[in-house]
Amino acid sequence: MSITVSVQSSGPQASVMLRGVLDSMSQATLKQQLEPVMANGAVSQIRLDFGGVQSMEAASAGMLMMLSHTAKARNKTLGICNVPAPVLAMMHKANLGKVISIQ
Amino acid sequence: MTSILSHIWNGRPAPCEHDALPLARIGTVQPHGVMMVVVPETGAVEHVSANIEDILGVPARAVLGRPPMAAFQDADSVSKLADAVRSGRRFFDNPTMLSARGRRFEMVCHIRDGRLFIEIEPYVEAEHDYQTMVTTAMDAISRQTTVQGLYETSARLMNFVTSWDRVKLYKFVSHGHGVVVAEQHSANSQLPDSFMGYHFSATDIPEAAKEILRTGKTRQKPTQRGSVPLLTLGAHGDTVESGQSVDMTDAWLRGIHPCDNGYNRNLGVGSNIIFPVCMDNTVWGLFVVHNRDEKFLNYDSRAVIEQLTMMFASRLIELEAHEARIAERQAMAQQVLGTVESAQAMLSQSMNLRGEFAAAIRLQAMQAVSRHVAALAPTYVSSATGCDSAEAGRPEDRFSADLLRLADADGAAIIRCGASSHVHLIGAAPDALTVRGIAAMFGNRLPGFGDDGWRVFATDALGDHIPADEALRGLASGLLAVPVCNRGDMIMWFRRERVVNATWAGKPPSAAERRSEMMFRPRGDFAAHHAPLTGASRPWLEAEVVLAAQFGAALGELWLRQQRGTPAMPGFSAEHGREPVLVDAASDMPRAAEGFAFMQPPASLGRWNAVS
Repeated sequence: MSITVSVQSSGPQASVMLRGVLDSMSQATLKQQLEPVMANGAVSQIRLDFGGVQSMEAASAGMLMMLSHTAKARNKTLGICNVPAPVLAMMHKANLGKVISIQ
Repeated sequence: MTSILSHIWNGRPAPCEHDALPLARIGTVQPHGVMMVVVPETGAVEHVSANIEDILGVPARAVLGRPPMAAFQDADSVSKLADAVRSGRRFFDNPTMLSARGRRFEMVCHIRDGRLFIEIEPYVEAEHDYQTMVTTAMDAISRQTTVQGLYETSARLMNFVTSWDRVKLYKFVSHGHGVVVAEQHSANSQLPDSFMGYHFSATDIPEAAKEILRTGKTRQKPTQRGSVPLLTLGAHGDTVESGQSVDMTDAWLRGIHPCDNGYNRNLGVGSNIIFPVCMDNTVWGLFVVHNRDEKFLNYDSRAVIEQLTMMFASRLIELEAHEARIAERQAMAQQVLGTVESAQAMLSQSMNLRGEFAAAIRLQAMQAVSRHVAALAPTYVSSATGCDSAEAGRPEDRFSADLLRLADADGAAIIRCGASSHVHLIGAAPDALTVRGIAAMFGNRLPGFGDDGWRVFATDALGDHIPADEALRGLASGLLAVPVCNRGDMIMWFRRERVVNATWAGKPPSAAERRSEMMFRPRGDFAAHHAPLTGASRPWLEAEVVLAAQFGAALGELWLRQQRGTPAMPGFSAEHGREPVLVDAASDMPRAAEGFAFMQPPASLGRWNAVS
């Protein structure tokens, strides 16, 4: 139901820590919180830290793909790291690695 | 926490004879590809499809009990297979290209139930390269600004990726039926018939098939030539059919039930792929792609379309919320809660007053608070009859109108339980007795609200769940209910029945036919059949259900906060515990000059004295 987002920016890099459940209802929160980062011209690399994400569903994977597309259009790269195993399994099933770099 | 969508009950109300078919464990494989099921610990093939000799030139017995590399001679392919069965692997960069007998194949791997599934399909060229397809899809979907535009664009994108004859976007509606909301044909389509706007009966999809669709697994059926058995080693080293021992839920090559093959053939379809659109583990709808002749789609094309459905789902959630003005309604809900809180504060203060002017000040407080606001306050004010009603739209009933707008409902009821039980009706709602009857069914005929984070119930078709006569269906086919706290207090929103003059693809089966052998025979009638779709309201949107649940939870918080923060009042804590206080505002309410309905205590204020 809920996701908490905290952003740390350092020069061209922004690290976005996510905690909670990424589902159809919380995706709007994530998009909203990321908007200032996306609009920040000084940021060229955005890293989404999934260490605190308990689960993610299909529509949210779609949202991440669209975010990646938006980032690319704004000359930024979007990457995902620290993904817990169950969430990583979902990402593989969605072939998300073909669109976004997953570390 | 479960998904909000699991609180929306719009499925098929009655079971069908074919619901329990063991489709995930069908024991067969589609004839165009080879499946091997490997035990990771030993690296040996435990099951293999009977067509391996036809496709790879190796008999099943030569592979069973041995590493899957035994099926290939090509050194590069053997090396890639060895890497796939490497111990400890859980994820795979699908697809991997293999070669055998001068032909190219795609290998797709996954793990399920501790077994490694290796699926090998003949490679076919895609219409476009992966990057072109996915970039085109992302770009087009992100530019959509309306729900219908998204439907139509996505169907066009499906056609762009596949170049198959016909793409249908099929949305599930009330009673579990589906309706085609977008359709795209290729320029040279061999399937010119249009099903745009047609309804398809819920009985077309057995429950077991829907269960697999809920996992998001794409269903590809490129041929309608039946299936081949999956084989394993018998007790005496001979090959025997695997039967239902293998769960093929995630497998691309899972066999097709003969009934399904027949359905497609009767529809004139040689190849068919179904991409479920899933939101929070619930199937919203399906992209159904048809081609008259046999045609194959390679893995990358299927992957792009799966990704397209995920992007579609994400964008749909945004656009539906935008079109339904959910943000405005959220703000309005906040205002309603603020009004209730301030009204309650005023009422509480007035009740604590003593002395000469107390009665006059209480009266003033009452006059400032609409009776409808008071119906939601912890201390509520009502007529002694136990039922109030309001007509949304009158100036004095603005609060009631807001409460209806919050859920875009035609009517509402606020049910207060306990010693001073009461029903407050707004707009087009069933009578108080019926409302109480519905409320009493939660936890038996209707599901309990539970405590999984979302405490809400919604259905577009109340008559599918409880006995509902024509009058009740007319007023309340749509029900959205939220509890307030845990005592049985509840808010219900209602939507009237909306009869749709539906055109069906073939006549839906009768109740008797649904429980007959007929359900195991392929449907052959897809001709337009006109019959109204009754017993259902406009659908509740997911965002509306969330908003209602949040409103109920916030109101409950407000009540608890009030109870915690209110000093013990005579008649409130000791005698009534945490019961709300009933204050009788007599039925002969005067109106202010501008027509505002006030809660008017009787002249003697005798009943006010009872709680002050």
